[in-house]
Amino acid sequence: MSIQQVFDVTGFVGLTLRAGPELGLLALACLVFLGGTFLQGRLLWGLAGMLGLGFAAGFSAIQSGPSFSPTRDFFCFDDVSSCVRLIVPLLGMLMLPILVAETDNGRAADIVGCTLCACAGVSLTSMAGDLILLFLGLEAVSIPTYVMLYLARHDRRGQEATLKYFMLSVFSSALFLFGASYLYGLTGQTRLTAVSSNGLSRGILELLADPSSQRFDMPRTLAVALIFVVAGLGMKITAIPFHFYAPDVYQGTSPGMAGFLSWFPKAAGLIALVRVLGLAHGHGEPFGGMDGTLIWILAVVTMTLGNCLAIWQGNLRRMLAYSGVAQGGYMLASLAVGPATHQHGGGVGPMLFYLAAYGIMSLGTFAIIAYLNDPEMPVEHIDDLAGLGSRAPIASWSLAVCLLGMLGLPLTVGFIAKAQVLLATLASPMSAGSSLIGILGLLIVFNAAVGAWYYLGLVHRMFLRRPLGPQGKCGPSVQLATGLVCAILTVFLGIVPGWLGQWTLIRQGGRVHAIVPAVTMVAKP
Amino acid sequence: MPNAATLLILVPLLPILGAVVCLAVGSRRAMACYMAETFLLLALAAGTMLVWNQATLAEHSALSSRTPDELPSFEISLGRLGDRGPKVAFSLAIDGLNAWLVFLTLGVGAAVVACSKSWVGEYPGAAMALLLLAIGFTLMAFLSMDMLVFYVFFELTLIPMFLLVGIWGGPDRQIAAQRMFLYTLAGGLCTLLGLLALAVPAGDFNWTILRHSDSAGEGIFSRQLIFVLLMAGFVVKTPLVPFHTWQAITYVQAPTPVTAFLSAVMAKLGLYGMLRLGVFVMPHEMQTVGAYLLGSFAVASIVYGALCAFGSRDVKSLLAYSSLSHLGYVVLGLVSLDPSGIQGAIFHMVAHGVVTAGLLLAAGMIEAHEHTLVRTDLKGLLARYPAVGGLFVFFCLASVGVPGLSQFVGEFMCLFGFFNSGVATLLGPIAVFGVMAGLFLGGWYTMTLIQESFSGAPESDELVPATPRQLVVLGSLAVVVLWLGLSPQFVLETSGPEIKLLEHRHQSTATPVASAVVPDAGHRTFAE
Repeated sequence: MSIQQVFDVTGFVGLTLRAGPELGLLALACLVFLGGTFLQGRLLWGLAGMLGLGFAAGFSAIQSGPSFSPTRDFFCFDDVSSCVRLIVPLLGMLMLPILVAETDNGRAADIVGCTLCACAGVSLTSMAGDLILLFLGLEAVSIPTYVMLYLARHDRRGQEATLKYFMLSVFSSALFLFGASYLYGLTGQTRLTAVSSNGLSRGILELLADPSSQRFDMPRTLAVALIFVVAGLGMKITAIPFHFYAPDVYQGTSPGMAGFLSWFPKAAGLIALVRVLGLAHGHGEPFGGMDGTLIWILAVVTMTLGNCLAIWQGNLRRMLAYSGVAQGGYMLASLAVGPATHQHGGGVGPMLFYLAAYGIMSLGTFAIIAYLNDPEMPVEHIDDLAGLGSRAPIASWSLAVCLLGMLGLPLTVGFIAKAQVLLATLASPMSAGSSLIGILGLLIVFNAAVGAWYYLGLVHRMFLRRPLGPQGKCGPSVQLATGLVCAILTVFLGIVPGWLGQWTLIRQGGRVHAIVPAVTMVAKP
Repeated sequence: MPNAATLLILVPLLPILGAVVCLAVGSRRAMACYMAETFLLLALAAGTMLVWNQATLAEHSALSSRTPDELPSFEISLGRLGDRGPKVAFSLAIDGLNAWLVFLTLGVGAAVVACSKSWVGEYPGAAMALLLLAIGFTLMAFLSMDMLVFYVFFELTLIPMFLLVGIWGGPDRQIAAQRMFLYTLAGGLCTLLGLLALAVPAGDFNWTILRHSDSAGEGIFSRQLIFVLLMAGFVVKTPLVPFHTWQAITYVQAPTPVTAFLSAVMAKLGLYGMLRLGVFVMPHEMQTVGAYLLGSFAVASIVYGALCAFGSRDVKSLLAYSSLSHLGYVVLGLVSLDPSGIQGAIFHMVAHGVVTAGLLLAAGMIEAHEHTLVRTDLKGLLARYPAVGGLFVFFCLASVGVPGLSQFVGEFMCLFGFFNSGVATLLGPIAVFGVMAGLFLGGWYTMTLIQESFSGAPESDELVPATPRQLVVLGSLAVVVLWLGLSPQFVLETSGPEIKLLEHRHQSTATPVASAVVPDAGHRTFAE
């Protein structure tokens, strides 16, 4: 019996095995919460968390091996979930050291437990084939985040940020549930396959064919459902106009926690959007084409305003919050391209690649900022980075690499990610909406040029300016090491993107086992 | 001799390796300069072998059946960009289009490094490393047959230049560096979009395949839009009016040898992009859109550059604007799509590079002693700097286009193409007047500079003798100028096979041949 056959066992045991990484992470989180009341120690709980995440990543990698067969039911096991379930624990392993290093021994266990919960939540979201599981996954990300925000900082600013995040996040959950209840009402099921594949579209067609049926004003009801679901998820993605909390919360919390916010809730929101809109497997148009237009508008507004607002920020974390908003816009733009079809690869694969790339670069950036942050003399303003190049060369080069990656300069993973999103827009088939998609490509380029302004501004301050005042001490070197790892990954994956690319391949139907760039030497003599 | 593939990878890799060594050497100035020069001279030797072989091959086989697809090349396949996206390969090759530009980059690079002892300041290792990186990236861009890899290195040259200008430049260096980076990047991103749009239907980024693919009507962008997007990055990089606003401040603020590299070599990257992607990949759009758009930008650059050069206070800014003006002629040669116009454009790129490098390096030598390049402060330089000043005047004469020196041939052929192809009639009499006025003004401002600052009585009697190093650098550049001017045929012939290909394509588009044959990489070495 091969390893793969173990996972094909049906029933409760089989499901437990297949959802093993997430269940394991949640169980470990419970253990850590419990153990934290008896034993204190950053090193102990940090290592336990790292081990757990490592096992989860390994387990996911084994599961989605060659004979992996996609299933879509209450749990969805397909390309999207196998990609996310691998990326999330790995990025969790980059996140954990940053967070643990900025807490004290007493709170370390809680921070580790919450991080594990959030990782499991993002994974669960990616596996959700049902509205209930989707909501559970999203809440498994949100609830630990409230706790972590509270633990990270205790002053007035921190309290305000926590409260703001809590209120708006609860509100967004309510919006999502409201929209989801409409979807349930329309289909009579909570299964997302019913929403995306046949239920809604067929329902609309039947109603259109039969004008005497006046049970519902179906298309309008559908629009309400769509808008509320997207609004609820838009808060997590920090899509404009649902971004208002982001700059305040990033500014009010610790740098490491801002790094957490920059990726994990955003990833959960984007993946949930993929699931709800049925972009993972591309059967028809669940919302009759409305969803594409809505995401297009959201993407354009988010990236353009995000970039333009980031230029004016003086506070470093505020600026990075807006930068995160803009980066979310690029990922939404990728989703606006639509699902994979037989003709082209669609936008979900490039979005997942971008998500992973952004995670690496963003966590690297926040790791270095956390490293430079001295509680006595915090790095708040962007001018606090002036002259860093000569004071802390390793930190400043790592930060510069991550920033240039987010800018999209070649030889970084950010370039490959942007190129893939652009490619997805350009390769989309000719149809009624293709001029819109073409405009999207032009706008991404415009935005990348605008974004260069503020990312380069930081690099400029680090290398071309002299320090403005006395400099604070640097923080724990584990944060520097994490930042360095992120920078190395940024460059490495920029040169050899295939390693990440093979996991983000989304095809119509199941996984296709083409390992993207098999590097072959054919040096002609 | 070593085989061609080894030479091809050695030429761009040696400067990059040299950069690593220079970084390791750190703060020892003499050592850093020495190491940088050694690596560059090695690369120059390898490059000369490569270019010479290519040139003699082209000269001898001009009548034989050699097609540009049978090129010596070095290739590493990198798979596809994204799912089902176009193929990418790290493939280097030398052909008639890039051969002499590679030679120019190496030659000017070696000259610039030889003159760089004075400005490197506290961090000589870092400065030399960045300069070598810029040279290595430029070589990679010139040699790449894969257009995505070309783009990658085209953009990457910005990072060393940003730091070189921003750390070692003049008082306004930070603004200059930032402006150069942002302008060029914004243009470059448009080029990226155009390149992707071009490669999606072709399924490959390889130049040969792009050239043969005819994707009219496919994809979501029209060919005209793709052409405009592609050219956007190149007109900013070159630059042409009205995208030149970063140029003057950057050229003035950068250390003078770095300016020499920027003007002599980096500006050619933009022109080279127009040549390779505009003229060869999209000749039809070059004729319909490019002739109007690039043609009028070029005429505007010629006139505006000449007028600004006339009015500039500073020798460096005069040379920057004169460069803007001269490169306009290259663009006119390119948009003409006329065989002699294109050959002339390639020749003019090389000729202008050598002359500008000579002018700026000589100016840098004078600046190192006088600590100023403001024109009103410089008097009677010829009497005080007999050798360096004399060579400066020699390069000035070449720049004006005195027959027998290099720029004459290039400018003449570009203009011949411009008139011969009908672009002149297309753009109208005002453009023709502008081009001619530019020639005249070019002579005027250069002669005014010589008269004001070089001839006449010096303010002090101090004689500044040239060091042997200065004499060797400027002397060898002057020899190249003379050689290019007296026997241009050797360099012109090199691009012969590619030009013939373009004519062939013209004929085949006139009588449409349905099957564009994509030769399956029948690469060949010199040895065979």
